[in-house]
Amino acid sequence: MAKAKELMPEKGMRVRNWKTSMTLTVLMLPAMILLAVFNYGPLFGLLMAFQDYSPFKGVFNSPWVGFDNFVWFLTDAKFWQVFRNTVIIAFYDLIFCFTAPIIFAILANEIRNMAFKRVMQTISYLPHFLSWVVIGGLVRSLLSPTSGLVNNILGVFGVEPIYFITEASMFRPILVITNIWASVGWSSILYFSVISGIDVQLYEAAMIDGAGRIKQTWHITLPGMASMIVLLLLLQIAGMFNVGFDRVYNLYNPTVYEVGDVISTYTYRLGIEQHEYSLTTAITLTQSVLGTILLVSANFISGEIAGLGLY
Amino acid sequence: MIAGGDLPDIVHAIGTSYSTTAPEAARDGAFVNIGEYYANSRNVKNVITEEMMEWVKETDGNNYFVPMKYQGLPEGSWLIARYDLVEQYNNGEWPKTMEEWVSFFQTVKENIPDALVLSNRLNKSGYALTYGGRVVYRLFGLPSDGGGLIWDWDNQKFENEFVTEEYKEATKVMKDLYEQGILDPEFATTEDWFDNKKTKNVVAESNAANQVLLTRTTYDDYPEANSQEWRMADPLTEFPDVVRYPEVAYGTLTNGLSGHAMYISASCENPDRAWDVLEVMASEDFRDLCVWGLEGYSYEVVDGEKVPIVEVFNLDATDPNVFRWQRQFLTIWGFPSYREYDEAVAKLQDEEFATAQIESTEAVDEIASNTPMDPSKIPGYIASDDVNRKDTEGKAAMSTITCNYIMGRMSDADFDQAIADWEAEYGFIAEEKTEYVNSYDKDEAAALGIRYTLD
Repeated sequence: MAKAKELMPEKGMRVRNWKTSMTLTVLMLPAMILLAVFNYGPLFGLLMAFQDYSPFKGVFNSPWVGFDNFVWFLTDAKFWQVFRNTVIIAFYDLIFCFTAPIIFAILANEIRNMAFKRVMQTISYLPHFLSWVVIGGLVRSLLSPTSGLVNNILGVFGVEPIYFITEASMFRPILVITNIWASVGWSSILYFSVISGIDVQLYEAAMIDGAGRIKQTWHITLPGMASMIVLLLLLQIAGMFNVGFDRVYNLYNPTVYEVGDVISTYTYRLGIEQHEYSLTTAITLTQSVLGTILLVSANFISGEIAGLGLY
Repeated sequence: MIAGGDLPDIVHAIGTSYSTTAPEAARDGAFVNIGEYYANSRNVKNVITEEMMEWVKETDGNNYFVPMKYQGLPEGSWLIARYDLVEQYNNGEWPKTMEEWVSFFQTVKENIPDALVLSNRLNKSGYALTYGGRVVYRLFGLPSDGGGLIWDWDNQKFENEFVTEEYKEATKVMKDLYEQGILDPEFATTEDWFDNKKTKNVVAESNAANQVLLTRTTYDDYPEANSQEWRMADPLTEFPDVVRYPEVAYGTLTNGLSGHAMYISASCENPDRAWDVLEVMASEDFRDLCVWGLEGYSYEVVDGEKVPIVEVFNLDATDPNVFRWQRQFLTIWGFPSYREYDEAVAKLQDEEFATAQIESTEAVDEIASNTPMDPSKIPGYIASDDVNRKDTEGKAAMSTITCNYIMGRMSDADFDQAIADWEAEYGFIAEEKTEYVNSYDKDEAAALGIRYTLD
């Protein structure tokens, strides 16, 4: 207790701290309100997962059904198929889409011509602003077996046209490559900012010690980016079960449903088309719980191994 | 809107809202029982008969909505196809059999090598093949909407078309046409059907007779398409042997109603006034205003007859002065009410063309009008949760199997096995509905004009 008293700031300092924290709190307020309204408020709706919900009876008057909705989808073979697809695609995303911006940022950082570097960065951001409807159309056109650029080029080498987006073995790679193209530039912004914050003297000292470009990247750039990489990796892991609806829906077709159908398209069909609000709430609640478990586990492992974590 | 539970005073429900969401909401107390309003109505009763109200009665015996009357248009559905190509490559004679149609498709392909001939409009929310993708299935006596239940008249049960011999044989023909390049090589992913239709020499589509356009379509961006003549083809003289019920191949008679409903919300503060709005919408003055517009603006009276002013009809659909948009208010009288005006405009523009278009639908209309209503029209069926949850999934699964087979990715044996597996998993959907219609009071069904057999 005595030690705590010793640690307490002087009264004048406490007032200054209070004023500073008040200012910061006020600045944070809009974000907190947004969070409360759009993230915490809707949590009330999770009750629907345990009901046979009707919008007109409301949460308070809809009948309770316990875990029936959970039992239904957990015993549905189709759910496990889309669950498997979701995990596989999310894993590919983790391996390829997550690392691509890191590699891109490191490579772009090595470009010495600043004008070229800026133009390249700007161009790389552009696909982020395209909707997946547009991207889906572009990909279909590019990969068309009759008029697509890719098949035209393959044709020059005598390769027969390939109907890429109907090939089950190619659909997931197409999803991943398209996602990399669409997001690599935008996702690398944070890494660029971290790299620009690394002390230049570290590179100068390394050069004096005889370190080449690769050694500088390995021993200075990457360690400098580590905390950001861990932060984004943990967030990516937390969202593993949320493979984006837009990108799958705009690219898939009947021939690849078995490898392309994911939880988000499954819940879209049940929730939006079949109005199964309770069932889809149960599914998304399970998704969130699994995401939380993954996040906590990954954060623990990261803390144990690298001493880095979200909290 | 319904998911949010916050409804306006009057709700117009269509599509899935009409068939599923709104009736569920009605059972949960979202809408007013309009039985008494209807019994004392001034105008609604003159448009919507008591028999029509019987059709749309809820399972609790109440009427919650005013349906849309849908009479006055040609009945049935069949192939709407390029008559200009028939004239060019088939001496102006519509093909009379499935084989003749296939031969005609081949002739078009030989003469126009880059023609798509048969294309598709991919549907990702259910069964994948629509419009051009359904042509061959129609030639095998299957309905316009794919992937659904059809009534087996001999055995008095529903079955999904996917498990029928007709479907298998039709899909084999599709596979042949795909191999020959007659079926769009990208049929499994084509989402730009309308562009293909006007620019790629697509030959035919499956559609309702009432969708035959009475006026020529003009495309500023593709003038070559302006000479296309999409017209309803003649019925076949003979179907393939595998077709069991050629009598109903052009559709069965409808009950004269359409999938539109006008509800009054239970949250409406003054339902009497909301009903008055519906009364106005059911008045003859309102119908005439919607159909003909204003005298001197959209029509004039010549020798006691209303004559449309074509310039107003031709205004671009986005023009704020366009008169056609007001037709959307005909939710009780029904959209067919404007047929009279459209025919008059079409004849003013090009009488010969309009007459040919109208006449092309007559044969199919005649056949479909003389078929009985099948038990799929029996009112009151509410799908169980399991059916509701599996229906779209089943359609997606049959789309996958069908597309992969057509593209040569499955052997005939695998195709048969996949269909059998599909039936084992989704066959309960047809069984549940069969059970419902067979438990329905047969006399009541007969009184509504529904028949269980073709005898």
